[in-house]
Amino acid sequence: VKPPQPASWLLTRFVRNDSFIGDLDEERSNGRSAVWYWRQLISAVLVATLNEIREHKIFAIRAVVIGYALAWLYFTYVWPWAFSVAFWMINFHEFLFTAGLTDWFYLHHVRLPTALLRFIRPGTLAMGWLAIGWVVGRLHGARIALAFTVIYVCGLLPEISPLVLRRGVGVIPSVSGVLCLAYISVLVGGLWGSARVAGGNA
Amino acid sequence: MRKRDYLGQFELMVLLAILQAGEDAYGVPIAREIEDTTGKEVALGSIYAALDRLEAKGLVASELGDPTPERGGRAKRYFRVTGKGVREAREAQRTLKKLWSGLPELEGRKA
Repeated sequence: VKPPQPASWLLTRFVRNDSFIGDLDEERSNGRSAVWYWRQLISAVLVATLNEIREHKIFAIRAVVIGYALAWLYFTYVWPWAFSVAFWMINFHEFLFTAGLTDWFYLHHVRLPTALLRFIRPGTLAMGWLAIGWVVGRLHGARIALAFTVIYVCGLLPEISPLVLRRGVGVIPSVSGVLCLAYISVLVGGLWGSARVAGGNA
Repeated sequence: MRKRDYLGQFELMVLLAILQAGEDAYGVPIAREIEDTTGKEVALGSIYAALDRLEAKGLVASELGDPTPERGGRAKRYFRVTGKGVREAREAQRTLKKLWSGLPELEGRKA
């Protein structure tokens, strides 16, 4: 039984133990269920990540420090600028009109859909998180990138919880959306960055 | 007093499972041995993590077998307990026996 493509990808990226992968394949061909296979795979990824942190503590701490420093730089200096640029790009017809450059787009109603405005905030946030994850993954490999993603997203909770307390449970869906976006963006960035590291890990 | 690196409970179980499995001690039989004894499913990843730690401590040694098609062409990694490993297992047994003795609650008697 051939393992599914995402499973092979995760195993080679995180576990990197041919004997273990062979054992999983052997058990699968002996009739173990797909649920068993995925449970084993996920627990192996977690065990490998925890082992990496235990064996390379300084390396892991360095990843967290670098990740948070980048987050601070991005959200203090780059994000407001990126937000404005994205806003003006979507509203380019107004920008050109008010800057006195051309009124052609404005008068001919050539414009981007205003629905795009809703994506400026999540889009620019995701870009930053993706970049932070990429740098951490590039410098530290997939396992540490995964650990950093969990630490970073958990670190967002104290920032977000006062908002829930202030505005009530109604904001929980949007808060969970932000957390999911952060989790996915940092993780995808980390895995993308680590894919460029030989063997997927430092 | 010299600081001693004690075997964890799971490491000891893995060590004994290797001895039980004999010549055929690779990941799957080791996991099965532990599952049959404890009645609980064990994660193969945890077995390999424990095996790596035991190998780093010099308590087990491993060698690669031949690749087989049902394993996707991957080789089995066979483990055996080294002399140091056997001594550690005996030492752990002695220590546990000493700690166990004189505990009526755990010997089926009323405290």
